[in-house]
Amino acid sequence: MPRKPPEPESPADFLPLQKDMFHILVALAGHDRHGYSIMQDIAARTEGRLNISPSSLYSAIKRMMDTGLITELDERPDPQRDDQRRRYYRITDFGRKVAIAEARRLERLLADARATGLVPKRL
Amino acid sequence: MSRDASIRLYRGLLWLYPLEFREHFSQEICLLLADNLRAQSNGRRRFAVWLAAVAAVFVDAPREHYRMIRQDVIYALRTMRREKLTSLIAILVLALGIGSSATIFNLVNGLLLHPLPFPEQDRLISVAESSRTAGGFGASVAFPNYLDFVRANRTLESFALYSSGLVALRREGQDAENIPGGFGTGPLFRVLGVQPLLGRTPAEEDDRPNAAPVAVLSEDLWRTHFGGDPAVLGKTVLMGTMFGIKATQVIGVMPHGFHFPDDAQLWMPLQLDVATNTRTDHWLRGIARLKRHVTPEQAQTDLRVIMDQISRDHPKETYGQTVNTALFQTRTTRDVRPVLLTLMAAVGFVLLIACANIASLMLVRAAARQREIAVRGALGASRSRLVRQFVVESGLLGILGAIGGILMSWAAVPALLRLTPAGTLPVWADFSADLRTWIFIVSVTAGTALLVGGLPALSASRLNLVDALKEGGRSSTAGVAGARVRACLVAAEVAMSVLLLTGAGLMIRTFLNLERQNLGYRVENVTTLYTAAPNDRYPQGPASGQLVERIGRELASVPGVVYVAAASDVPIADAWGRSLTVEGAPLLSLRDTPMINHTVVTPGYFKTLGIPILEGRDFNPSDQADPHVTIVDAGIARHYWPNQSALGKRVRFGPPEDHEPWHTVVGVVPEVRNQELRQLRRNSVYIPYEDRYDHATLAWLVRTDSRLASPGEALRRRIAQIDRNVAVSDVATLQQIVDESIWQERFFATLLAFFAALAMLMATVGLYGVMAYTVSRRTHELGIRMALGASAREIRAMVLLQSGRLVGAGLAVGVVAALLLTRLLEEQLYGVKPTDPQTFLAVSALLVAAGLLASYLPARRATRVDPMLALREE
Repeated sequence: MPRKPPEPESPADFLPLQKDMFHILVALAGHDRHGYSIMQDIAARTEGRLNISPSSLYSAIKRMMDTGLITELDERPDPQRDDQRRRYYRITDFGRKVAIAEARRLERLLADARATGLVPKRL
Repeated sequence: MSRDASIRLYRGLLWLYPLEFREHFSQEICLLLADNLRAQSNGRRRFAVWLAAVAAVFVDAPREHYRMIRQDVIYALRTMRREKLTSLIAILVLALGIGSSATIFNLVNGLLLHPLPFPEQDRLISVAESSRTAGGFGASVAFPNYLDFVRANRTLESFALYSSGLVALRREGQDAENIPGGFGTGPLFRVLGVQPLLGRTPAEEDDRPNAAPVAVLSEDLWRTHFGGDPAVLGKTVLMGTMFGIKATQVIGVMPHGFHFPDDAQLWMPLQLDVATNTRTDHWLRGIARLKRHVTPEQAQTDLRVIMDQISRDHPKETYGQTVNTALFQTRTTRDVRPVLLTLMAAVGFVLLIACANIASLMLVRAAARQREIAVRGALGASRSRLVRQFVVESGLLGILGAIGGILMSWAAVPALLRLTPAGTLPVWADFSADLRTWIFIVSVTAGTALLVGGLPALSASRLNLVDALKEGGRSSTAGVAGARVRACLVAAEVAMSVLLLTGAGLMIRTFLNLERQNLGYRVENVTTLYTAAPNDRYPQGPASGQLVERIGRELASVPGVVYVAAASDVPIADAWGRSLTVEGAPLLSLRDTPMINHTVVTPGYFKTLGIPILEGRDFNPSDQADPHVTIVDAGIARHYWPNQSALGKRVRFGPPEDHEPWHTVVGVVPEVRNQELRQLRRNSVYIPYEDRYDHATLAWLVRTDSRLASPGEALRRRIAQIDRNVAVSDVATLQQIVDESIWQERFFATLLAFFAALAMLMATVGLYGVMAYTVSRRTHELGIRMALGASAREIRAMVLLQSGRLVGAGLAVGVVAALLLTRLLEEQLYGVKPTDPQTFLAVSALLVAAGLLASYLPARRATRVDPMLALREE
């Protein structure tokens, strides 16, 4: 698997970010996680509305690794508690920038919708 | 289903993913699914989760493949942009290779693979009686024999005889017009199995002698000459055939695209009578439809038994002949088949050379990129990924090359068809691209990509990463192996070029031999045409004689015309063979009498064609009074009357038992090629034209001086002025007729020469590439040698010797291969042996010269190596 150094792309090149990817970045924003943990986090945050299948999750993870949004960790955070076979992922600085850029984009979108009165100031 | 089983099944489905993805993630994915299943509270929910996961695989896996290939393609495109010139050369070379193959395949497909426009064509066979002594397939079936075959056979569903000829169509108020026609016995349309568009086809009753004449029109003729009016059915039109001019009723119209035989536009029953068509009259061709599940061989055995019986019953009217059958399609394409298959092999070689060339180029590229590959490998790219990268790169080159090739072939096919004279290819040949063409192009492209990308991929996958990184890819083992492979590739290219050049050389010599062949007559400045006189106006006798005389006189008065003569046929096309019996010689059976070419001519024929009279005289008008005179060629004179004059001797024609009148020899002329350029198939006798003969159709030969550039139109006009009911057709110069008779040799030689030149060019470029690369890699070594005192001459000799070894090896293999393979060309050759030393020498010299040219520049560059610079690199 070529883990090419991230191309010199700007975060804006990734916008709008795919929904799955954004959720994965958000899940990794606080902790390094393995796949199941990412999935659980997403399910908890979306109250079960977003169910990513295992294969789709890893397709997204692979692409995010290829583009340098996340990396795979060599060490296991807590060898006592965790299954050695699991791979852990961490958000990169670049991934963080992309997530922030996407969040700003969504914010602007919401702001635009509010400015026109389409959406009330408080939901 | 237990949880384990469902996970196992799921894991199996993950095979749909690319290997790389699977290797990295399949374990994780399965763990994740297991976790998910465990978290579900009941079986039904577990099943739902499992089902959703399975469904997602079918969506995600193809996407993953797509992404990966896209990535590879983007990477390959980037590489191509970086190495513009090499990539452009590679695409061009592949386009030439693929384009050549596609072009020739198109011809093969259109002529040999495309089905004929007749239903169940694999049941259609040609049938011919054939002489056991002369061999060959044979050409014709005698009508009474045919009737016996029809009566007694057990293998044929239907059987017909047919012939072709011009039909003079006369419509009121318009010039008579000669239309190519087809004549068949009653079952012809049943044999062919084609239904009419309108009306009906001739029934058995219409084929009886003296039945009311009927005709069927082609759709084309119906539209152009009868306004496409359905009311044409039942109409009566005056049509002149070899049997005279008759009011003929139109009974049907055939559908568009129906052509048989050749380019016939109108069909009539033969209405043959056994009284006038004997077992010795051989002018009709046979076609039959096999019963189901009967092979052509079984039919042949069946008909041969009948033929043997006929021979026993009619010993004097047969010549011990046998019967041959063959699939009709095979027979109609027999002339072009060997040529096309040889050309197919030739383009195969061109394509292989192109592949070798590009593979060699890619190897250089791979060697130059060793470091990059090593870096990517060290960063974790798997071997399979690296190999795939090369295959994708070469595949991309292949596809771009194929696009170029398809464009090339689009332009080339019509151009090639223009090289073939009208009427020489079967009318139904269809050269439009069909599914077969596309399958061919796709598989050729895929094969090319594999050949081109396979070698570098292999060498990349064997690359020792550590070595490559350490040494910067200059002298690693993979590089040495690559150089050896490239040397072999170049030697193979040279060998294949030798093969193609030899084939081309032999065909060019054949063509030149034929073109320079002394035919015995002067071809230049002779225009030929055919006239068909309506025999209601010009019946046999004085009226038709006067017409011929008048046409001759009028044509002679056209400014620029020097001589005019009429004959039963033009040279080369002439095929009227008869038996010869010589007075005083023993009376032979039909089997043993020699066949001679029998041409009816008017006085002045020999002068017009520039044939000298060796002995005696030409015919003159007074021969009309006593027409039983003949002029024979020198071969006959020599054979029957050696060491004495042939003049005054007597011969007669036709079956020995027929007792036709004796003809007295009044002149001797040289032997001329009356049937074909390649050989004197039959000796010739000439008979004076007389008005008692029924010659509805006559060939005219007009010698003009060079002032008259294209006399055809003037001649045609002059004949129309005499009588517009006299149909004129087939206006052509004798040169055209002669040229057309060897179009195949010209076509073959031209294409082979083109492909051979292409092959040699590619091999030269390939050799240059290898030598230039070798020199650049050996800069360091050459520098040391020069520092140690090697002279420029020694260095040059060293480089030239190396390339000489490659060329020599290729030459040796190529010459041996050519000696073995040119034998297959033997039947196509004329006046040159397949092992012609001159050709072989010339080809070898040419390749040595090309080799020198290709290695001269690298050799010179080698001598310019600055020892100091080369050493400093260390």
